[in-house]
Amino acid sequence: MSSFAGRTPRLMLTAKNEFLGLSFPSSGAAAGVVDTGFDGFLAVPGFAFSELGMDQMQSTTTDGVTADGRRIELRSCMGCVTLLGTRKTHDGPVVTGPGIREILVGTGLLRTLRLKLDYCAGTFGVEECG
Amino acid sequence: MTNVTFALPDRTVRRLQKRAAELGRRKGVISEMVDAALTSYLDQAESAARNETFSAVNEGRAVASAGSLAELARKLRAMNVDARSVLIVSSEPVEPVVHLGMGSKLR
Repeated sequence: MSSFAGRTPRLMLTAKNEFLGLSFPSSGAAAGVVDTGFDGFLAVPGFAFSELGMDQMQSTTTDGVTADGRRIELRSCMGCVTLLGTRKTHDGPVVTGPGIREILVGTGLLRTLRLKLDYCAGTFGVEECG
Repeated sequence: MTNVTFALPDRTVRRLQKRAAELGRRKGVISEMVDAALTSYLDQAESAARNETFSAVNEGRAVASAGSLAELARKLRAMNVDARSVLIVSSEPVEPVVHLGMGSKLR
């Protein structure tokens, strides 16, 4: 459920809108970039937000600050994430906004996980807390 | 600051003293290490004890609440409430500003 893509650690996951029964991706799993600079839960591109039906749900807006200091408006909707190979689900706010072109896994989701990144050995392991 | 007296295994004390020596044995360094270790432990314990709840809100009033989104979805279906007509919120405070880290590649 975890791997490196180059030097970038990624988690294979499925996001779900429990209320409309929609998942992204609709089959299999998608790669989310582990981004410890992102203090949200999960960020997805706009098309994924739509495939999850979250554009049909009532949502909240929040400010996002990018790495280069720009402020963007984020739409937020509650969603559920399951990591590939596990059964445990993680609930939290899924956001989208301009310029978000890949799935970002933030510290809001990472706080429930123990990550073991070993760049020397080129290994990346993930386990649930506890 | 409060002085606290407690017993530690000899091995732990030796490790603390070794680390203090590596850090230069300056005054207060052991207290700092103990504080850092306990704070980390307590943060983790409090995090595990957190009981987040999710609610479906309509016009400022909670229509239903549950411990998970899946459970909340089941409740709304049982109540014949269209989930698109309510706002789903968490009991955890929402950060007013979200920092998008190095993964954001705006071009």
